[in-house]
Amino acid sequence: MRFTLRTNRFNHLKTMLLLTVAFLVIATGIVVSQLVIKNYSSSLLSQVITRAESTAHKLSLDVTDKILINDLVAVQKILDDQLQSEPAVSYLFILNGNQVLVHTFQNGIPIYLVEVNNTGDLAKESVKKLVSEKGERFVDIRWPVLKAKAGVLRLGISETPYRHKVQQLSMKMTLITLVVLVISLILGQIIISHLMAPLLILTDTVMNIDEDNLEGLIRVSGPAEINRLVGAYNGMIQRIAEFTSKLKKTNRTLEQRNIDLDRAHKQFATTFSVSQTITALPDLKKICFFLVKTLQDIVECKNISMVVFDNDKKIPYLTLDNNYITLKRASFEPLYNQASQNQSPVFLKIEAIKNLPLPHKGEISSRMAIFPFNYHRQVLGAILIACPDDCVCVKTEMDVIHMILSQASGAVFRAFEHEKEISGLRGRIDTVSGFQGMIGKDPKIQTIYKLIEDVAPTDATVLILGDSGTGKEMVAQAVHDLSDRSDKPFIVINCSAYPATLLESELFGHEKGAFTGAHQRKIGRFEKANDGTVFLDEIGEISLSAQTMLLRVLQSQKIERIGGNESIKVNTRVLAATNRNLIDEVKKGTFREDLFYRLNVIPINLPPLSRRKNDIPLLANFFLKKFSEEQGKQIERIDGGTMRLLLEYRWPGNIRELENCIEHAVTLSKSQQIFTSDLPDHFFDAMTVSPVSTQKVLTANEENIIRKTLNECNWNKTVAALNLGISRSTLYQKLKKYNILSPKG
Amino acid sequence: MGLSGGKMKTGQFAIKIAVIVFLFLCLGCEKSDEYSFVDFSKKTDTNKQIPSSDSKQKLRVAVAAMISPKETLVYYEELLNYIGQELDYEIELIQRKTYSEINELFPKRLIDLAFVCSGPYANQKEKYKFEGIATPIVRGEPYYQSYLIVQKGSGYHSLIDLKDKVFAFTDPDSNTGTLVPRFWLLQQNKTPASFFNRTTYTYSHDNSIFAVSKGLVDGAAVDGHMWEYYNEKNPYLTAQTRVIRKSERFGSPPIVASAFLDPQLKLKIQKIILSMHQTEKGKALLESLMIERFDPPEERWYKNIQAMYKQFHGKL
Repeated sequence: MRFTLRTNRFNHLKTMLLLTVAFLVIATGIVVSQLVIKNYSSSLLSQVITRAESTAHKLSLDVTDKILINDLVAVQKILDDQLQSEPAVSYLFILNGNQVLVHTFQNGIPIYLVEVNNTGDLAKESVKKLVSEKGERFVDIRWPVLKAKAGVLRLGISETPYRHKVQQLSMKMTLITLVVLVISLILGQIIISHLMAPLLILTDTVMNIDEDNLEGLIRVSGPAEINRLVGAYNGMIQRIAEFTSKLKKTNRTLEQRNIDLDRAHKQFATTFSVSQTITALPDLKKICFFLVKTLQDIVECKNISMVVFDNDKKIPYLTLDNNYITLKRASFEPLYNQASQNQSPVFLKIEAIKNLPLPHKGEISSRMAIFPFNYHRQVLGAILIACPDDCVCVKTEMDVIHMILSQASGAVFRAFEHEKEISGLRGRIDTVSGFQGMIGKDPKIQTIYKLIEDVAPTDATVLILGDSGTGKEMVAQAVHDLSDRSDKPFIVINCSAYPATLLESELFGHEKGAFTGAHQRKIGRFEKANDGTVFLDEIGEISLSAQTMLLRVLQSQKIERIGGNESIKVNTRVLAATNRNLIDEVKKGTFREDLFYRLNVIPINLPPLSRRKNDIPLLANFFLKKFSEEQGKQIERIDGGTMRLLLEYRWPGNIRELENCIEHAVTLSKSQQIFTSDLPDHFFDAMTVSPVSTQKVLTANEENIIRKTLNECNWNKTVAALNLGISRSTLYQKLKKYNILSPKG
Repeated sequence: MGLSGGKMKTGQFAIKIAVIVFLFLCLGCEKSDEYSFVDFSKKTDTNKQIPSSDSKQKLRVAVAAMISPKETLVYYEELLNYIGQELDYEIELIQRKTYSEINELFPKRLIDLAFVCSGPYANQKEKYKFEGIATPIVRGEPYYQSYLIVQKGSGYHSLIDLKDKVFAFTDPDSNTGTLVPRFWLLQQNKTPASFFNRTTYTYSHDNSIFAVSKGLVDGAAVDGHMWEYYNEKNPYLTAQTRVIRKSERFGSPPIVASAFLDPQLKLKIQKIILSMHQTEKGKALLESLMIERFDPPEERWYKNIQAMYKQFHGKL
């Protein structure tokens, strides 16, 4: 703040000092001149008086004898001479008794003058000061002549010349005083300016002082007082500066502490609310979303994702933005390794980030912090925070992230366990709807599940029959998985994929040089699948020679490599599948009857999807979930209309077609639902060419409507025909067509 | 509180400054002297006489200029005052420069009483109409002498030594101051003009003593009584002189009264003077004048003066 000084000139110290100097000079001048004038005047006057007295004395001596011998003429002469010779003398007269003997007055003697100094002891001299009616001042000296015996001499001196001299002196003194005053003022001005200069500098500096400008130490020197003032000021400034810097330091410390306290408070509040909220959250997915959201609020960098490991299934789940994605099984290992390597956060460089099996969006950030979180030494997952290169957000918030994660890990663990438990329960509940990766609750398929369960533990050969896409391979896998050989190889051979000769070599192997191109011995599939299971798909497609060899394996559990003589014992369970009607093939002679019977020990007939339509929503939702997780999309459900279309469709490609169709839809979908528009085009093509089924629906409805109407009108055919809007003859035709008979007979 | 304190300090400061300034200025203040007012305008016409309220009778007393007027006043004042008081008369002292001026006042009846030189008394009392009433008796006799004096350090031891020197006479009519030295020269057939280089008249004995002591003149003849008196009372001047010759004795200068004075008064005055030594005051007064008493003058005391006067005039 700047002080506004009153600019009244008379308030200035300098002016006041100058005025004081002026006053002192003037006052001193006055006093000194008064004293000098007084002294001068009195000395002059006394000198005049003394001189006059001596004159009077001399005169009195001179005139004594003359008076005594009455020589008045001589006396008069003496007086006149004296008056002429001394201009200061105004009058002279000699008084004897009451008689004026002689005098020097013109035109008579002033009576009062004679009387005025004529009292007291006349023998003694007397001096009296007189003032005339004209204001003229005189000194009247009375001098006795011969002790007044010869009379008294009176001598008057005018003060005018003396006063004139005094006046002149007074003038001189005034002039001198003025000169001294001027010189004093000039000197005073110079000296005061010189003396005040440090003070002014001091004042200016003091006025410029503020919180940020405490460096102004003054380097001025002057009189001792100024030096002391400057010293005091500098000391004060230094102390203020020290205090200020101390204060600032304390302030900074306090601010820092405040920030720390705030942060700690925020962290505490956050962790508290986090743990409070988390416990209230229903499932792992929500917990993950919440954690990511919470951390985004805390950390400056918003690019945060979270990985959770399913350690049993070796599947990582990624929470990214608003998606909860099931990552591929293959990405489990690198992510898990990265997370389990360190207990503390790890910061990855851009190269390492690129190597992580994560779905990257756009540019890869230059740094990534990985916070693993554990529960009882079990790595549950990790928080991934991607930052720009120079970001320090993570480091400042490390503690709170750590705290939140350690708080949340328990909840995550419990949620995970809960999820597993739920899924286990659901698995048990879903035995009706799912079995070994197969889905379906249709009674037909449920029977098949039961059959598989029953047949699996045996080494019985199973022949799986069903249209293409009905899940024959899955049944075979289930049989293997549920068998005692589940830990042994499960070899799948698609027989239609090989030419006849190549198939034999593939199945049984060959010796070196067995045929052209057989450069070395080859171990066949059966040999490879020793102790395991061989699944022969499309068995209807194999050649007769291959059928013979296969039959031999089934009968003797022995194989011979092509071009080899050695029989090799194999313990292999054979499962076969075909979409052909093998009996027809046997009848046509293209399939050996004995092989058919050898294979058809336990036949499993898989129904086409069109015959288990109840399972369509189940399967559709299963595939929807599967593909949306794979593709990292949040598609919750299938639109009602779309589902109706799916139900009405014939599904010639069975479950595989449905799977493809849903995959297609998930891929195309832009929302959280699957709409009709997401379905593939060929689906609609197939829908339009299904007149047969439409006709069936129409006729079925027609029969139902007729029966309903007849029931409503109590089998009165005339009323019914009227209500239906048709003629009675038409109604009779329809009754005959649908074989509808009256209950009354 | 602070403000009022500040104001109080300012007030005290102002008071202090005011007091100092006041004292300061007081130093310079002129104490105005008292001047008496006199109206010069009212004047008497030309008359110098200011009306007197004195109703006493006046006795006009003259003293011949045996000594200088001032010395005369000093010498005779007490004596005259005594007479005046005893007589209950106001004494008016009349002095003149020369013996003859006084003497001439008698016939004009301007003098009642006078101290005159022995010379005029012895020779001219009829001429000037006065008669002696008392002669002072000094050292037991009514005589006095003329002393021939020179400066103390001078080499003069007799009148002869003063030949061609400067000589001072007193009054031309003085007995001891003029007649006696002229008589001495006459006895040697000399005249002052021939004997001395130059002569002068001092008109009083004290002036002659003064002139000799200061070396203004080489020699002078003075009244022996006077010389003795001064030598006793005030030796300042006589100490510088030396008496080289004393004359024969002559009757002392008497007090004379005017022939026109009332005889009763004259008797009364004579009685006062002659009985003066009988009163305590008169005695003290006389002692101070080195006079024993006053006796009535006898003619024989002045015979030698008359003889000398006759011889002198005879020669002339």
